[in-house]
Amino acid sequence: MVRVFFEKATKYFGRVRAVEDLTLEVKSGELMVLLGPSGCGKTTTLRLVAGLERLTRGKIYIDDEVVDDASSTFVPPRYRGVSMVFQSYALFPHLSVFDNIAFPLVIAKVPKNVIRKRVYELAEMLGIKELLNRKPRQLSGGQQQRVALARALISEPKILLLDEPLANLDAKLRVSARIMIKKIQRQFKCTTIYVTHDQSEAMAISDRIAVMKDGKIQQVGSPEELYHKPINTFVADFIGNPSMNLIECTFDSANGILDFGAFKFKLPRVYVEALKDYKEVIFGIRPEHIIVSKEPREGNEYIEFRVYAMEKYGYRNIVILEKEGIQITVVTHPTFDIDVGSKVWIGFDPKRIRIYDKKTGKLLV
Amino acid sequence: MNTRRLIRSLSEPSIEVIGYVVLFFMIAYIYAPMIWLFLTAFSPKGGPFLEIPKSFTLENFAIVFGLKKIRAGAAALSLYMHRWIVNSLIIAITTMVVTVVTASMAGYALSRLRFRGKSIFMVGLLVLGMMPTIAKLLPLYKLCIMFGFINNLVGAGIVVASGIIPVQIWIMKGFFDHIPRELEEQAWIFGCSKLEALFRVVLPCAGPGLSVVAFLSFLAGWGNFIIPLILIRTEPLYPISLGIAASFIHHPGEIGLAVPYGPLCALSLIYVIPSMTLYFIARKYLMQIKLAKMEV
Amino acid sequence: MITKIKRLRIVRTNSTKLKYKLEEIIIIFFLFPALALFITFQVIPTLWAIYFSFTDIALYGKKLFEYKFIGLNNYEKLFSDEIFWKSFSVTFEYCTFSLLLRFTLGFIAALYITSRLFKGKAIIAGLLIIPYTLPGAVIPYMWISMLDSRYGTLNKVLMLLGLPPQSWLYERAMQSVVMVNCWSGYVLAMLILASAIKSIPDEYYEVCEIYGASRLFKFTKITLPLIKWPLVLSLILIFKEDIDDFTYVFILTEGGPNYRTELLSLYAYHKAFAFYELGAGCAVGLIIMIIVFLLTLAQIKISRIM
Repeated sequence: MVRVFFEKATKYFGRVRAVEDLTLEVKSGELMVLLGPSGCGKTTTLRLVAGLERLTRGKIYIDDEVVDDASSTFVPPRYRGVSMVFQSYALFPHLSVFDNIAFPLVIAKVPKNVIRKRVYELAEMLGIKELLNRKPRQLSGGQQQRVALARALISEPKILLLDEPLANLDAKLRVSARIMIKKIQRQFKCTTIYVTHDQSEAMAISDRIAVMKDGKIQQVGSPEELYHKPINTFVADFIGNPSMNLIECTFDSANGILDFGAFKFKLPRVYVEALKDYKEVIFGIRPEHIIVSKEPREGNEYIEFRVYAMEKYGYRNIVILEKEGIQITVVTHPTFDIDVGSKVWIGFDPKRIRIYDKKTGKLLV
Repeated sequence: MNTRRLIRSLSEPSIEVIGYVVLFFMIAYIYAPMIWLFLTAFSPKGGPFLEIPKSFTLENFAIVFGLKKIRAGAAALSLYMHRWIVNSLIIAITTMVVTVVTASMAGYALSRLRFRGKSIFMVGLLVLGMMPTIAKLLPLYKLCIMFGFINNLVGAGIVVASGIIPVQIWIMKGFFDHIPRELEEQAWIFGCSKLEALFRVVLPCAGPGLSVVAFLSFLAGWGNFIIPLILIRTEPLYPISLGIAASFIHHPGEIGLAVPYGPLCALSLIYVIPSMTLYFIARKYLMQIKLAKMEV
Repeated sequence: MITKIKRLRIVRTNSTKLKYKLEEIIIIFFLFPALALFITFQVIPTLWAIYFSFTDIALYGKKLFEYKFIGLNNYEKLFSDEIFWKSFSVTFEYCTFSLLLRFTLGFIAALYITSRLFKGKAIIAGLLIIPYTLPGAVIPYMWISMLDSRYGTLNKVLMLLGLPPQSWLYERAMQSVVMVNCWSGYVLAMLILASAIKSIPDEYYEVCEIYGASRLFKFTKITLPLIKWPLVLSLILIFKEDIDDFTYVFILTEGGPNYRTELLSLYAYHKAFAFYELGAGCAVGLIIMIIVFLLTLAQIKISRIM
């Protein structure tokens, strides 16, 4: 169980800034997910931990020892005690499944009988015991993934690195596979860094998530933290499906009113204080936290909208409402049925409102 | 309108007929010369021209392998036939070993290294390699004197290898390009040194590529005529190509009559058959790999 | 529970760091053996050839070591030698006819193995490739047996058909040489064109069939335009190969009768090994080299377009 620590880690590929000033701690034994859109630097970060890339600036610590300090110190991958599963699984095509899994131990010159035992144990654990004699090209995607995992785990690595391991699987398999990964990680207790662009995957599997964009970390925290308190508009928009409604508006500090143009909304008094210096802000609320009513409601807290579109999923409905150019997405119970074009009245759960500064995108309230 | 349809309906099947006729002539063109070779090899009294033999025998092959002495009065060159086979083998194997080792090393380096001007380098290599042999040959002779390659079969093999290297490097590089870098990275993570990763992972995967290069280079050495012509000067050391040329003494229009045609044709068959089979095997490998590439 | 293995210990000493650095660099050295071989036996002789063509070096005797620079002397002698010009025109004649025949046969063969009409294409393809797989030294002898004036198989067949026999190796020396060259030479064109034709998607032809196009239409309007570049490429490659053809002519006619088949490569060989004028031979070699080089440039340009 070891700790990974990035200290101002920076990696440039020529002029491309893949990773910029990254400072992050991955706690011992936790499953940290690096989440972000393509090209945000998450895979590069993973490869830096593995030792497949060298830092341009900064330091990386594994087990509190410097493995890369961008100058004289660099520990090559094979001495770092890490194991990695690539998105393509990278199974050795010329070796059988057994030999693939045994590979790390063969290199380490572990005695043959011990290798045998461990391979069988791991194959049993991952449910691939019948496949041991086959070659990788005879396996399905899900089977290949489990072989890759077995191979990564067999040497009891201190750190496990996973690069989008579920990307090549079909949807149903993804769910069972990620449950398996989580279970195994708990069992082996290895510090794990997991890269993905799928936010639901990240939320389901992680202990903590680091959201990245353009090589910089936007926010680090547990799934709940990221869900309830996204620190800027990028994270707010990225996390959650459907994503948070973010609407631009103007704040009138004298009256504590948000002016959306199409309508006005009076903010609860608690927030007015914090916002007093700001004028141009972004109003955020998650679709799940909006109250919808077919009956007209009076009062300032309720705003009239028209139904623009509706999607029914069986277990929930997603309704898109519109008012003079402003669109709001709402999630409702499946029994909520209404015709497109009719009027509804919505209200916002005051505790779930988030306000962001329009210029910087940062969370104010 | 009617005539056009008439012509069209005529041309459809008749093209097929014309096609088969042309094909027949082509096949005749191709296989007619080979008939003589084949028949004379198995006939006890083969001449320089096509005769239907009255009996079939394997005697000629025995003579080729030195198991049977030839009748007196025939060219004494035939004494060396079995040695010629060995010589050709030496040249071919030398070419094969040298080419496979050097071309795979260079192909790997070119596949994995990143440097500016790499494409210019590769194209330049190919262009330089396409220069006509005759232009290089004459100074090559002088060079080989310096290296002691005259009358040296291994030396001849090395020279042949040097000529085919650009193309073989291209082939090997192509193969290595198809082996994903991730496989090597995976091996490094699991504890291999870079060299270990090469031998345990990359080379086994490059097996088909190595086979193709091995076959092609063996054939280049086996079938080469011009390099031994320049370098090998004594009869016992001739490879089969030179041996056959030396035995079929002739002036255009006259065929030497003191030449043992039977054994020579037998020798030619022995020369030709490995060539054909190896080419076909190499092609099959190439096809398999091309197909596999497209699936992956 | 899981069997315990000895903790994989991490060893980090200075020596391993050094070894690691060495490993990184060693890959560059992988290029050296191949390059050394190539440069020594291919590049250097080529450069020497260029140099020698300006000297009076000879193959034997004093002049092998004490040669001196004589400038364009060799070239002047060449250009005033009528045999050189004969050889030049012979080579041109040879290359042109060879090109025509090799290309035509290759094209026809390619049409066979890609057509949808004929059956047994794989077998035919195999049969048609065989001439390419035979070693060059054997082929001329098969043909000598065919082409001899009195007893050759070809003349026997001709006489059977009631046609007059020819003196192939004397009177029709050029034609014989071309015939022999094409016997295995058409395969190159066949392979290039066949793969080009195969890469044309079937859908184009199917559209034609829907609209009732004739076979001629399909050929001229679809096949030909789409294989334009591979076609040109094959022409260049064939021509390039033929310019330095040596083996077949050497064995069949040795430049034969009265230099009527004295290709440039043969001329160079004779100059160097028969007359011992190494310098002159190299001069001819250089001329061939320039022509081949220009053709190679064209070839590369076209490969880029494809």
